[in-house]
Amino acid sequence: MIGMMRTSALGLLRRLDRACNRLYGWKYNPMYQTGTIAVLMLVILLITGVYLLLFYRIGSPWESVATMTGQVWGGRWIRTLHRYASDAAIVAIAVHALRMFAQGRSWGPRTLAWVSGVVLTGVFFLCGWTGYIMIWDTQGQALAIEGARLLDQLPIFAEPIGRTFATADTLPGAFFFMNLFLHIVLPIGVGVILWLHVSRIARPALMPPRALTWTATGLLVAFSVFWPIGMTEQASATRLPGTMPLDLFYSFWIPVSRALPVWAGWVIVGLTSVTLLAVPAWTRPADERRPPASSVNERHCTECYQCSIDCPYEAIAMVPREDGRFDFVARVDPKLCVSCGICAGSCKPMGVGPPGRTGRDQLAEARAFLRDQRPGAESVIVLACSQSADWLLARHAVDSDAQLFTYPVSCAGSLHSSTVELMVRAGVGGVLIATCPPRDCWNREGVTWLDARVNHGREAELLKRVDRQRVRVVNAAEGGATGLVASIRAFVSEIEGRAPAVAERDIIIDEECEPVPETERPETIGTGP
Amino acid sequence: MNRPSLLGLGLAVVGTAAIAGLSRLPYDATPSGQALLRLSWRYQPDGSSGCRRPTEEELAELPPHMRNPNACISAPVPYHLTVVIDGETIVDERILAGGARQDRPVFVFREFDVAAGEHEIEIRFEARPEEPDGTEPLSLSWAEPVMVRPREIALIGYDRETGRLFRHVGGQGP
Repeated sequence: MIGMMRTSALGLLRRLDRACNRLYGWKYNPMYQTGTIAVLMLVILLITGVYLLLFYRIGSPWESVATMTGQVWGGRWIRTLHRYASDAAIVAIAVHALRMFAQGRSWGPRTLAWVSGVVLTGVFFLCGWTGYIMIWDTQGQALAIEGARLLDQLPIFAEPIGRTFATADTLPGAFFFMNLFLHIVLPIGVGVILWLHVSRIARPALMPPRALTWTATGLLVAFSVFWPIGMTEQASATRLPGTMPLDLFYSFWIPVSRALPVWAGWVIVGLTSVTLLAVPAWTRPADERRPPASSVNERHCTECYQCSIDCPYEAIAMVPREDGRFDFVARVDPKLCVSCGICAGSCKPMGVGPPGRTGRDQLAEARAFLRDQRPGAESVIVLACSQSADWLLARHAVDSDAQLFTYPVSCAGSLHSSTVELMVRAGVGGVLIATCPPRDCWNREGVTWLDARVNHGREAELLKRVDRQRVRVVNAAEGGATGLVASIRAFVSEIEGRAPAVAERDIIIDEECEPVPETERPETIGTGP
Repeated sequence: MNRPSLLGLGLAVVGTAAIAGLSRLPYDATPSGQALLRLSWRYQPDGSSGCRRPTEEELAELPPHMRNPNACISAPVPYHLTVVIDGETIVDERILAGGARQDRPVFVFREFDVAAGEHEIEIRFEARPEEPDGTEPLSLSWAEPVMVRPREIALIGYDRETGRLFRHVGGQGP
């Protein structure tokens, strides 16, 4: 059931991703930026919220908001921007959660991020709720009354909260003070939970690319200016609300709540919360299918620090070692490791990685592939990331081309450069690595590190002796499946136009790495001997 | 890398418009011709009647900081609420006071949808002690024809000064 839901969600997202890649290019594809867009909306909310706070009066809430709404050059569009940003944040959060669910990034070490994300959404939602009550128009009153109806069902309040809004038209200032207090305190809570949300990842990206930031902000500002929100009539204890505008993103539950008995409302709230919070348990694969955490072969560790720097989840620490060979040795915390394998690609001596996927395992697999498949001097091997390129190519049967060999890899970022070196030095015409777009790497930084290792000398780099003209890195999102196949065909033609590759005999792969300079090393746990 | 296209920008505009539009969907919160009868009051019996002081034995069983010789100990009194609209009994139920020992005020908060127009409304709120102590138990009643306009809320409350149920007019007291 969960598997089917994930597959369906993934299919939907892949279609949307492809469409948006065509329209915006992968770099500005908003589907890849949902988390950062949510943070951008939060920033807009904070800035506009501070301005609105200056004019809000708890003694006359509706009147003060009406005054702001009357300020064409200030309050009106800023208030509208505040509203639109809060709505856009809900959309971004929903798509972000769907993507994490579909990509299976919701269990194990990512449980904290998922659960904190659900709590974050709840707090965000409450914050919007208090924001509407601040206005004290008919929609705000409806939210307050329905909320009170739910809360009054709990046996914790001595006096029914609903009475607060039922008896007199003039509510005490203390009520609006408390509401305003919550509206200010909850965003602080959002900040704290957001910190928790990203606490287990290295180098979290919090803001979208600049062009996307300004485009999204500009669009919201333009709509705020040209299509501002208005005011509905003031809430009244003696009049039922008539037709009112309903914010679907925050008030969608009002019609449902009004149509159902209160207990049913709580059942829905409870089931939704439990379902969302239990996603990590439901999406966790069975023990036998769960990818094992990386481990370090301490015999090969040369204290270069690179794996602890490259790990996108801060799962590798350098700890003192006791055999006297070096001061420190890499140590993987299995509770934090998501088995992405990126450390395998970072370790020149090939001493770290998930079992069966270390650099040594990759080399052995590549040797077996070359022996069995015998790609020739004009052949191209496509090392296809299984999360994107392999999936795309499966639909285009490029294997029917005698010159082409597809070679799936779990994540392009986990690919050890020695595998590429071995293939080129073994006389293969060319090696094309097809990756996910950097912003959609399921392991966050795999594409970034791969590019740095192949093209910019980052440890464990592809050595200079490897003919770069026979190696190509292609972003599989660029042009979708058709674009990827076209890139492959172009590379094949290029290779055909070159002199045939020369195969070396008795290839020896260099395993020595350069240690990271001391100033660039991360903190160690404990001190060396 | 592709550059964002004009079509992409157009779709972004449409997406933003969708967010702005969904932010203000028209919603008819009250069907036309509907009104509401709302009962909302708090009742706390006079602390001096219907209760007794704790005995020496009862005080001795309590921790020292809780021994209050002037405490009012009373048996919980259940209340009964009856609402009749146009001759039909809508509510006839027992209501207990708040608190674990039911020694807190009793709150009544009920809402009934009614069609706009004139209605004969009768409300009774009375105490029905299981162990009568000789005093006259509370008995409040209110019966009047009520005219409610569409979307109007007829609010019935309790005035502690006069000891009577009354209808709020314009959100004010009796």
